[in-house]
Amino acid sequence: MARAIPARRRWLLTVLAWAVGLAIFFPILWTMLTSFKTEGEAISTPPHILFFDWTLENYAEVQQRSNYVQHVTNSVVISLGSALIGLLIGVPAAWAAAFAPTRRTKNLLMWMLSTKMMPPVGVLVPIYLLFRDWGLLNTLTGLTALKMLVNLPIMVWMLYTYFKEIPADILEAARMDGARVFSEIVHVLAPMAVPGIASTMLLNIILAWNEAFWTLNLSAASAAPLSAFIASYSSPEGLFWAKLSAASTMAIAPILILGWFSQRQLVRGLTFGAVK
Amino acid sequence: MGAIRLEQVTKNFDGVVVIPCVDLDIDEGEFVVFVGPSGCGKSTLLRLIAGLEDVSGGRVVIDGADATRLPPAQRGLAMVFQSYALYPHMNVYKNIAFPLKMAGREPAAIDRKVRAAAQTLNLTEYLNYKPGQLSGGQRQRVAIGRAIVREPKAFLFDEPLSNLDAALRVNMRLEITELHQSLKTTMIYVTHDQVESHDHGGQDRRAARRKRRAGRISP
Repeated sequence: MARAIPARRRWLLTVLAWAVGLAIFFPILWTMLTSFKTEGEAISTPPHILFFDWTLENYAEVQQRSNYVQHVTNSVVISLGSALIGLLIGVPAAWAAAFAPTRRTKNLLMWMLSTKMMPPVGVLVPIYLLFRDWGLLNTLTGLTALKMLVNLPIMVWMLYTYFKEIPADILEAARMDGARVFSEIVHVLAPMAVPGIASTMLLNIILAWNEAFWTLNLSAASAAPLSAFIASYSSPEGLFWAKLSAASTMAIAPILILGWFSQRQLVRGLTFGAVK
Repeated sequence: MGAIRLEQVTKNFDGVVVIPCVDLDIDEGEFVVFVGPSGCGKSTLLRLIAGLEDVSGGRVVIDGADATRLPPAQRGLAMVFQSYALYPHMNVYKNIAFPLKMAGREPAAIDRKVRAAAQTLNLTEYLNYKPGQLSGGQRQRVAIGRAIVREPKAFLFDEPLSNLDAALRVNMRLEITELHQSLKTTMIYVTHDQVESHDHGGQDRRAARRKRRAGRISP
């Protein structure tokens, strides 16, 4: 029988939860506040948290200096594109692992996951050379394909974990009803797995959006997404903290909003299967 | 149509013998009950006939043609699962229509067959309901309706009444028996319930399996 938590202890837990949440959110909050300061205010000691001269000049200058719309467009194309193509490959792969496993399926899944344990810098040179020789440097195609491949192991694992929760006899019933593999996936599995597919796609959009290492090394101006847009405010003259903060805020705002509205889906997708 | 023959069918899982050796002849239109304790292999045998599992040895012959290597969709059989296995995102109409849609039938023909099956099974007023809104008995009837519209060579029932309460089980047994009498299609019925296996009035044969030993057939 569950015990009721005493009111005082519940109050303490609430305060602790808020403190932890604030600590995690503080860097983003500080970045947003700094974006409304002048450069002088941004590096002043002691730092001013709320009481300073609020200004929008950083946003105006960032808009003037950079083509924000193009960077956003590039980010959207790369994130959405890599997530969608990843799903086209990941869903059949996860179906095979979940519903038609062999003795080697577990080893294959572990091998896929092991590629995430390797530091990306270890393969930077060969990837760069391949991109150069294939004409993929500074192209949306190249970045989309690479980010899809980087996130594919996570997509397959998330989908596999979700598919394992779907009763196999429903798919067997579809086979008895005459459905071939394609129909089984499209007409039966996918509609049943919409929450899992949606949360997988959301997480991968976020990962692709925020990815900076490959972006900075493989793109220049025309294909640069928002992560490169932020980095362009680190100049040889030094870091312009206020403008950098404005650029960062403009870069993370779209994905923050998306994450806020889809947080329930994200949590569900990440924790599915954890508790029976 | 609906004659099934098993010739020295065996099944192993990772070296463990589940079905040692089965020879069985089922005539067209027969009602055969596989009865035995849990774990004896009766559901496995049914799944081998359905094509949901591959045989380790032997042949499955349906209407004189070797169906051993055929996928389930091409064997012309229909199966009613213990858990009903209804598609939760489709309403009753679409659940029953699904096999006809997979067969590429015309929408008008699909509609006619679905409504006829619904009428037979007293499901007409539930056609727009999702499986989650139905009772256990209604879901069972939808599963049977989905099997009926395919006009299969044989029906395979895998403990279809296990999830129902005792009173409903009695009614459904009668309905299945009446279905067999009206359709005159081969039916293979798997149950662990000895009483249920006896209760299927008019059933032609019972094949009893003891755990991991060859079955015996009784009239």
